[in-house]
Amino acid sequence: MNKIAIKIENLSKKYLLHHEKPTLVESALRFGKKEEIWALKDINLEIKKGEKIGIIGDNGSGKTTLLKIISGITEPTEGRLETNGRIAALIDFEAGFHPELTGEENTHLNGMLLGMSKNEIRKNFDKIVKFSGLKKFIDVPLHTYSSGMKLRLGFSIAIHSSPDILLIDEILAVGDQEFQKKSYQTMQNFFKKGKTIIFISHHLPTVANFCPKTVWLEKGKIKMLAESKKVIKLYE
Amino acid sequence: MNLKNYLNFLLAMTGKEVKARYKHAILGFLWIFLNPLFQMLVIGFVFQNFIKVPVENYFLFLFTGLLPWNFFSYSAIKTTPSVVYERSLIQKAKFPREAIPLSIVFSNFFHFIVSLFLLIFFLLISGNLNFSLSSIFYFLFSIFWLLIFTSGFSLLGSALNVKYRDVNFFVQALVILWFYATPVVYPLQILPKTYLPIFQLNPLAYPFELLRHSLIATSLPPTNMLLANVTISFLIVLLGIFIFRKENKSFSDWL
Repeated sequence: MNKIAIKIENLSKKYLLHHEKPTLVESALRFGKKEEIWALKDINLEIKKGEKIGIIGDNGSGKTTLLKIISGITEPTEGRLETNGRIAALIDFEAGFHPELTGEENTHLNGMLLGMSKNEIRKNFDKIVKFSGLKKFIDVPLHTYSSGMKLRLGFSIAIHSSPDILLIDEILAVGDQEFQKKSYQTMQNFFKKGKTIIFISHHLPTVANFCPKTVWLEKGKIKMLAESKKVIKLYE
Repeated sequence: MNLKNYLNFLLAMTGKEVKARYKHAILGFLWIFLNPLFQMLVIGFVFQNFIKVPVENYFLFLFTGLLPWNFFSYSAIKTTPSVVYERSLIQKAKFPREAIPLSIVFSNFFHFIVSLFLLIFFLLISGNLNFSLSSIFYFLFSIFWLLIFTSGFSLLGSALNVKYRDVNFFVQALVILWFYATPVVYPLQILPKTYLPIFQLNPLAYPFELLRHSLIATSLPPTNMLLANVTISFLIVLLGIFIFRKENKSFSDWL
């Protein structure tokens, strides 16, 4: 049994800053100015299965980039990433819905986008609908949904995709008071259940409360990795 | 993702495309056939009354060219900007990116097949169908060829368009030119022999003529054109796969 959930070795990510839109002609003649930005530089991190790690840092310190790389949305420029288990990134719940299709059709499609199999979605469908509280609206087209309803459905699908590794970027404030309470409880359950969790937040008390260990990112580098209370004290 | 899940995913994405297209259209799937029918009437009117193309049964002849043309041109025009349009999907999760353009090609292919069968049915009852064992083979070969070529072309266009948004404009212009450079409204047979080498460069020329031959027994172009067209098709498909595989890793950085 592999005990490592995520292993990151000398990982760096370079972005090109486009000051002007590149066109075929421009890039052929090398007119367009390109500035390089290292969003992450030389990251080494090993996260064991079941560990809960907080990530804190100022805006632009590379938190979201790291999350995107771990979830496989983008590739690192240098270095190596190894992950074991299904990953769910709890970001952008509204993305991937088609406005003309019904809630049910969208649930199937969205679940597959998150890596669920057809069977898994069928098995979890009732649970997803129940959690979202949208039973009455599940057979109407998505364009009639309010943004709160879309968020609830998206969130509900994401947490039912039975991930081994959860990547959470900030806000869990989805939907109304009641739904927020429900999702907060679900999150707490995930934390209790022995899932591997990476939690990005600016809300330091929550990080300290949920995660025993915290990474402090600064300008794309790991400035500190230690017990949450220690890191947060220094960060403040 | 294992193969079964991968295919299911592609199928689900294709299903989405098919379902979403005719929602709120009262005539629904009838448009699959009505659309080329209207085109046939308009273009046929022009090429029969103003510019006379010397072909028997011209409207029928035209229709057998318009169906594959619609498949290719709708696919090319819709897939090229598709990855850019679906940027929110790409920023959300890791999934096989090629599903975005391919689902559009497959849904158009589904429409193509449905309208072909309607056409075959019509040819059958009107007694114009060219039916033989070899025509079945030619039929299958040409639509398979068109599917593979269109897929490859779509992968190429959609991948390049992420970094170079000019590609979309280029493809739009190219498709208009391509319409006249492909034997849709005319057969190759009526052209002067000196023009034929040009069509060796157009990978759509042979499959169009072959499909038409299989349906209504028009004559076939020379074999050296088949070889040239197959080679170019093959190269474009390979290039499409190669470029897409190379570029899709950095899609999210450009969107």
